[in-house]
Amino acid sequence: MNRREFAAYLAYSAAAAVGSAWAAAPTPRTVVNVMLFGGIDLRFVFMPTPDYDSGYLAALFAARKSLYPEDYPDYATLFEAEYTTVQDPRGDRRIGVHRSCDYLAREFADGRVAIVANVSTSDNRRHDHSQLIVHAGESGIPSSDTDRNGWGGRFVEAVGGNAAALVLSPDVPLVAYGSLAANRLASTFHAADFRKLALPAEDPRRANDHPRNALVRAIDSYYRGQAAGDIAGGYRKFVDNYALLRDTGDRIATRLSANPTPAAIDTLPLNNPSFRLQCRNLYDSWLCKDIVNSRFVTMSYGGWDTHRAQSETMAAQLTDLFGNGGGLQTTFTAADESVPAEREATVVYFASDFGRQLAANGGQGTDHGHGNYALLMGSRVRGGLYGDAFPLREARSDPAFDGSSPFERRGADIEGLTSSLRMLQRTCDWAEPGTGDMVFPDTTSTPIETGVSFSDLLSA
Amino acid sequence: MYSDGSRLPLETAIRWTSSDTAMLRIDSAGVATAVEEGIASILLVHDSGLDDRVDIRISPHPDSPSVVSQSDWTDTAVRKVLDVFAYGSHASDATIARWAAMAPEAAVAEIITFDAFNDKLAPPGALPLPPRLAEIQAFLSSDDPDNPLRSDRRRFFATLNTDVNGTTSSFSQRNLQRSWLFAVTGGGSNPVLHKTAFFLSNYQMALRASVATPGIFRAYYDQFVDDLLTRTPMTELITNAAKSAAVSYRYGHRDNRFNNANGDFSGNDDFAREYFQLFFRLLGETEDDDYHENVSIENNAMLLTGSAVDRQPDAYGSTSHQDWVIAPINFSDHVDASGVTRANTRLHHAACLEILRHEVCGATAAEKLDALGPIVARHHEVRANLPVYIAGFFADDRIDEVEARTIRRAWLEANDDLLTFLRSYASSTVFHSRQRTRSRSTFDRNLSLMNRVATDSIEVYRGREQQDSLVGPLERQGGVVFEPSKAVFGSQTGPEAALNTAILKDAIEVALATDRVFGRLESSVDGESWLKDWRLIMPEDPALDAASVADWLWQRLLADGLENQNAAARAQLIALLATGTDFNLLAHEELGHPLDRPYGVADFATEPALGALVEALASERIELDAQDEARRRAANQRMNLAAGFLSVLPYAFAEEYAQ
Repeated sequence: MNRREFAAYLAYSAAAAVGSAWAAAPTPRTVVNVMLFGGIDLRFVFMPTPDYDSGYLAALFAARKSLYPEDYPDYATLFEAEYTTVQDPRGDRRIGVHRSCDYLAREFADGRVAIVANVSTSDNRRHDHSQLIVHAGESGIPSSDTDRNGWGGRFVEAVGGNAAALVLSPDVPLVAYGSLAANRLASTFHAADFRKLALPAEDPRRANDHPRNALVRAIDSYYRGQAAGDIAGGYRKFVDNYALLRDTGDRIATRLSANPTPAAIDTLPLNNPSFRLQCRNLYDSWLCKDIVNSRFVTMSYGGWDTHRAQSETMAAQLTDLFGNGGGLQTTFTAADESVPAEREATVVYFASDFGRQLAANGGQGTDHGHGNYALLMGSRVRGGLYGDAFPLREARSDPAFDGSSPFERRGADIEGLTSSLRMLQRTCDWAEPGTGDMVFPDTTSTPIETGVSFSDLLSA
Repeated sequence: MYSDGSRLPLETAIRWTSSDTAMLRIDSAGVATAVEEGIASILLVHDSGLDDRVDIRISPHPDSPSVVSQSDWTDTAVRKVLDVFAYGSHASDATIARWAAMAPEAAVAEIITFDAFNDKLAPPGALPLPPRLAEIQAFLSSDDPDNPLRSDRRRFFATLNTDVNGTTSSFSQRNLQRSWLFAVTGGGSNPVLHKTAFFLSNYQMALRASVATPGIFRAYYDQFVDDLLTRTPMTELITNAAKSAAVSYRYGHRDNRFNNANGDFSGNDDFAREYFQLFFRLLGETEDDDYHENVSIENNAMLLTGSAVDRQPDAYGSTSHQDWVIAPINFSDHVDASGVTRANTRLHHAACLEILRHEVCGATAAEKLDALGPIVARHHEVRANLPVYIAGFFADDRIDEVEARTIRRAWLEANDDLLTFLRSYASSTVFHSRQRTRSRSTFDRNLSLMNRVATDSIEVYRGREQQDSLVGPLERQGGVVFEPSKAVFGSQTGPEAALNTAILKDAIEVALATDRVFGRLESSVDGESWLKDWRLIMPEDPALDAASVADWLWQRLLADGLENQNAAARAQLIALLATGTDFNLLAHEELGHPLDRPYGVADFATEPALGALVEALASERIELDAQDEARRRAANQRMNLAAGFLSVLPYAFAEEYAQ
């Protein structure tokens, strides 16, 4: 067998391995967490249609018209220019979705996106503390308590076996940390670039005593030779990491060499190159799911701390995320063709630090708030609106504040009525029955908006 | 109170004096300050003629930092200080030995300085550079006869992008990054000064240069350098940063304005919040949440009104209008060089503002920030959080409450002087405790290694492809100079980097390219040839047997007193040094073992042939002193190879990680 034949053999075996993994058993389900760092203003994405309560629209328009680049004369004109009307598949309501999010709008209309209104994720407005709370999936923890597990890490531990929390973002966030204090990354697999995971190997074109080959062997022999007693305490983790890279990295490289990246993903024209790479990683993770056993995946997209130039900033970033031809649409479309079972077995949850204040701040932006919308996307999601998307109280005057309404008041924000933990608990149960209570053991005391239930959030 | 029931305010009629002002000082209000241990008396004399005397015993605060004992102040301890505060530095073995023989505080005072140049941390023959980045760039890109850089490389350090014909265009952020890397690895600057300025500008008060614009970011960085050089008190240093053009531009309060006629405020509260949280580490957790959010932060947003940044056409000589923002902010009403009116006083909230329950007054944002800084700095959250954050950045991933108390006490005793605090911490038992665990960020690991393998200033200036050698690996490993990965929340930290598999993998790639990154072997530039000579940084008359050289190199690069060196690591290291190849190949050829066999400690304990092979190699002479250039070159190449091996061991990624 010459080198070309050997390469062809590897490619054949790799493709066969993917196929056999699919055929063997129902595809294990995966939860993808997309962290939108900065506190996204999802009120900018979802707006009421012009036939909504006129008093509400007037207050909303006055409070937020300065966010938009055009000087719109009225709400109807603004809506017409900026939003698309979409029917709620769960009821007779309609909402506007920002035009930069046409893929999200279509998925929502087709019943594959749940939009949960008035969600509370954090009880404060500080980025770091809120991110900690969101990643931990636990409220009321002090900001200094960073040596702890995250809900994604707890989920893969609850799944058991060799389930892994796969990190596709450049940094490893706390959401993927596990419960083992001595090694929070014990069940974490970081693939900042799936196609560059394999460790350097000896170069067969060079002699055994070539310095490069000598160094490759010296490093490999040292790391593989370090048994538990050879290396002290925390340093052991480096040996484990090397073993992971050596074993899994090689298998992944072999698998992916037989499965080139679809051109549409390779040439994604996104504003955020990191997210483009993460989308490719997500696609690759589906190709290699049987190798990594990734049951929880985390990605990130930063830049949502839009204190100024909100419209311009958000429109570009939303297009990356939710536009036709954007990262998710392109990746999912490619996956529907090549790894449909993996795609089918995946739901995507969009998290963020917090929501933002209702009124624009005068600098074409919004400042930190509390409540927000939460989004869950996937084929098994029972899509639609959960909760009151546009509470009329936001436009009502309040005697406690000199008669001003939240839309008029600096500091006022969306009131958080529903804990995000409740929907995450249900999502974990869907991904692996019985894990919801293990990951989120105490959600009964958390709030939920009247009339909202997540019992049918996902179908079996 | 008198016997007749009448009252007289005592403080208006009492004179306070101390029996020994060298030990105890007391001011006219009766506030005493301890200076030294001992017993002193305070004498009170009332105008009425009544007096009294109180003896005061002055003893150290129980939380005051203790200086590390002389027995624990070893060669390894000195190297740890250098690693943490000076990116390892180029300090010679002789200098390190001298420091180890000194009293710890005296040695630390020589190591940790904010001077523009510290020759004790520099390689032999280093040429002092100016301290500020703007000046460093001007010099390194110039035709100054003292400029040590290769003539064809100088344009890569210029302020502006410059092509091979010398045509310039926009401000070059890449050149700015290269220049900083040169400052911390080039030997001509003080790495302590620049690491501290990097901490301030990329962690505590982080900004992305691309967002702030590189020109005013450079001014921001250089302001930190200036303040460190002059030992500006920390509160004033932070206030200067808060008043900077870069911060106003990045956070957007350059657009905050207040209409004093009708009370309308327009603008965001982004920096108003982060000023407390990030700059001072006042999180507001002990404040009433509503008050902090809706009074202190919102009023701070109004305080920041009138902070517009000037524009100047052709600023820096750049052809890009995006570069034409300049520093510092002119807080008066004026017309800037671009013809735009900047009404920084008129649009400033003129009246006093209540912040942290204090009235903050001033005619401009700058004046109010000057007034606010000391109020914030005295806040108990700042005193609790800021010093622990600083110590955590430099040296410790996990500071427990007992250690934190000592660190806070050191901060108080340093009296707002960052240098005093760092010195106190670096010579304390807390720093030198076995409990201390430090993961190295991509910056820390790579820059320390690079400094420790550099053998002379020629290598630093000419041997390396300076403009490229480190930028790529740092970026691949998540460390982009002046582009903090978490934006205003700072650059990559040690814990984020150390256990990252992708970084381990890339570090191995870098090690395999030793000639390009961790020590070039030879070069010939401008008619001048250079060959690396490891002897230059070894002790005088060093033992050149492979075992001795292995131990020396291990300590030079990993600085752990050899405590992590086990039989397997030693075998590979000695093999690489003695033969230029790995232990596996030798065992394969000599003992018939499989070439890819892993060797662990137990193998050496149970297979005497392995130990015998190592010992045979251990006595091989490393011909670093050979007369023959080819043999000398080969010996130095083996040193580079061995350095590459050490650079990817676990101990290069973290120290004291055995808990």
